[in-house]
Amino acid sequence: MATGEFSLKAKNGKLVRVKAVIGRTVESVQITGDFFLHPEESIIAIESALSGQPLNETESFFEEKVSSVLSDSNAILHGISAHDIALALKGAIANAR
Amino acid sequence: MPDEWRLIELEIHSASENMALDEACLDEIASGNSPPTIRFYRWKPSAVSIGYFQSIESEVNLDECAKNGIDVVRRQTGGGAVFHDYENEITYSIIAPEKMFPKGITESYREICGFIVSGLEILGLHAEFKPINDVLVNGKKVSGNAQTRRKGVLLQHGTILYGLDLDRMFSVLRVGSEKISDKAIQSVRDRVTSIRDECNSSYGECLSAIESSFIEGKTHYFSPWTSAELLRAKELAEKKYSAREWNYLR
Repeated sequence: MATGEFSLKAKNGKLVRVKAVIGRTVESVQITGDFFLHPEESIIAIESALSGQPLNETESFFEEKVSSVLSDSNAILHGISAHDIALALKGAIANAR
Repeated sequence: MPDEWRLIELEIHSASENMALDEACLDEIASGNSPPTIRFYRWKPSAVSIGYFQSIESEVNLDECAKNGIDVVRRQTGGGAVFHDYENEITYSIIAPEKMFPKGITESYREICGFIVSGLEILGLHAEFKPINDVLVNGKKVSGNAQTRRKGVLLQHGTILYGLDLDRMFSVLRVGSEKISDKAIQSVRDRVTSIRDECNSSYGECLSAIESSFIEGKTHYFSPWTSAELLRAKELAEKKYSAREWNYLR
């Protein structure tokens, strides 16, 4: 197993950092940062939705996974976007060592 | 429960007690047992609070906190890490049914941060709300704020810098490389200010101005916590906000 990490700052200054454990797939994901998400516990569902996904998927695929959770959980991200999380995950996969 | 506000005047509590009181109050409002509430408080000992989604080890110099008797607590709100310096800060919480505020998150921040802006204007300062969650004076950050919405209740808490001890602040907060790169362009001193840096008002005058702007136009009364809130807060302070399981969640 390898681990990768990537941080990015959204346009408004909020930070999102994704740490991922990488094996044959994205084994697990942890998302941290100074953004807002209501309800906060939805972060677990977002992390779960990204875990187990193929490594070579596109940003759009990961963004769609995050957006689906937001929609299903009636959750609102504030300060960062689903796209930012997808970009950070792609960065973490690329950085995995 | 009518839309009559309870005001809890300045109190001093530990970090775990402060966060527990916010949550207990939210729960009791959600149950219809407590009124919409505005509270002001300080943190003793001084403390670092981190946002719900932050990694405690990435954000806080835990050794330095332990060495200096500084508490560390995870908030139930998102946002960034804050150093709550007992000497230099006014903290508030406003907790009320969501329906009493604009539905939009930015609009509700704008309304509540507007109370801070008005309070600072009473002191003769030129203040403005800067989305997402900051208040600026003369273009520099003087207040950071964080909001959650649970069980139909909105809770926003925030800090207003009365003074600024940057050396102490950065001895306990870890500043990530992303922010250091920002600082290369403009130093923290150029981006952050405090009331004391901007005017000669005393702590008491600041508190009075901020309090009066929060309650302006609201029917309100002064009242302490209910016994149910205190009981729940005691439990939350011990079992949640002092617990490693919560504070090291991420």
